[in-house]
Amino acid sequence: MDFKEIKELIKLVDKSNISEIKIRRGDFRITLRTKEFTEAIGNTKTRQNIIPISTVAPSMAQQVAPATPQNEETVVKAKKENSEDLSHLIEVKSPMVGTFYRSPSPDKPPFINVGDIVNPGDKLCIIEAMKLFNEIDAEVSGKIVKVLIDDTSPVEFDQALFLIDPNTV
Amino acid sequence: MSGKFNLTVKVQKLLFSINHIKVKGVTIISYKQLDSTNEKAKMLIAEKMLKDKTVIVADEQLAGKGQYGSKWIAEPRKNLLMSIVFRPGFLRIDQQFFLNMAISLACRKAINNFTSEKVWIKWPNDLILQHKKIGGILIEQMITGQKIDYSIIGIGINVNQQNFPDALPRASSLLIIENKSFLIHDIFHELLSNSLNNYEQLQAQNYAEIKQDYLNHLLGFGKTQNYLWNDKRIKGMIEDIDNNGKLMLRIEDKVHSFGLKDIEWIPESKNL
Repeated sequence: MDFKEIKELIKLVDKSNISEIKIRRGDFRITLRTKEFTEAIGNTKTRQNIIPISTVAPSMAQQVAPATPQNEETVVKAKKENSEDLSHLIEVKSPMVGTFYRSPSPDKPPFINVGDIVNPGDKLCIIEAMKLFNEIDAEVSGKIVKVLIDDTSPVEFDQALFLIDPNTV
Repeated sequence: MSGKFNLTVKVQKLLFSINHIKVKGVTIISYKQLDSTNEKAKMLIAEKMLKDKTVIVADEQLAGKGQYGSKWIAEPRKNLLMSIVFRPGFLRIDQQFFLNMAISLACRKAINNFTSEKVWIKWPNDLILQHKKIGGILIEQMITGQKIDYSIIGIGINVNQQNFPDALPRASSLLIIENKSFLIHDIFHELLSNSLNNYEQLQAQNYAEIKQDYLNHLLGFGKTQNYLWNDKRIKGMIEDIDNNGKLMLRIEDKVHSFGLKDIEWIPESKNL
């Protein structure tokens, strides 16, 4: 990841509702945290809106090395909005490596949107793995508070896809 | 009227070309016309009216499905259009490609009974005869937690169709290749019994055999062929398939692994 890409990433995180993002590609690691995140975890020393920390791999070789999805780990945590306790939210995680689709086909609306109430058995998304199209069903009842992955993006095993608030049902 | 009663009525009234075929432990529901056999299976699943090993077959599909958003086009009453629904609770999600291999092999073997030429599997699950695509498979699954609740295996075999749209230059049929027509229910029967056999193999966890069989019938296995990788033409040889179904391709002296969108095979024949 070069400086330009990091800059882009900072911009993206700043505009998004993401409060913390960790990326690992081979030896390269980066963690971006927003003000909201650091406040939420009680760290009052930091004042910047975005604090790039952790190690940034030094070699130029790393910057040009193509990222392979296998080595890439992305962890996204929900923003602590209005500093309310969000620990009760349930993450729906990807049961496999694949491609994430929000709708049953490109010309159809998404299975679910933020604010929708879902019940066990309701379809949440499709994850395609090697031409096997897997419809992922909800296991709990609750309100969708966040969709964490963009449509048609690759997902890793165990990566969080949605946040569900079970207390709203 | 109970849901179950509904289903019985449908079975009796709409049995069409497949109505005389009975297979123990298998429910066969036949329709003259459906939007799509996979979509019908999903509707029946939603109504909780679908048992393990149910087969849905249609003489005509009005909105046949291919891969995500694409269509499967087939003339009415000339082709085999079916879905087999399994409930493979025994299969781990990370082993799901073995289901694809088992079913691809079943289709391949079934079709090979009707032609003297070898039927090949093009990775991951196209059915190829004489460099042409004569069948395809679309697997859609319902996942709850870490469990495969339902596998809907849509199968389309081009049997007696004479003409294909210009937009599908790679498509062909058994009729075109063998120069004679076939009874669709013969192919249905062959395909179903092979699928059930291979599903039993899967249940028995004969994974190594399934994979070896798949590689033996995989187009390009062990052969040096041209591929398009990062917009560059390269020569590679399929050396293996990993457990997730990725293609292990030897390029020069290194083996690389590829997903579906990472690489494109450049066929030697312009027809494919």
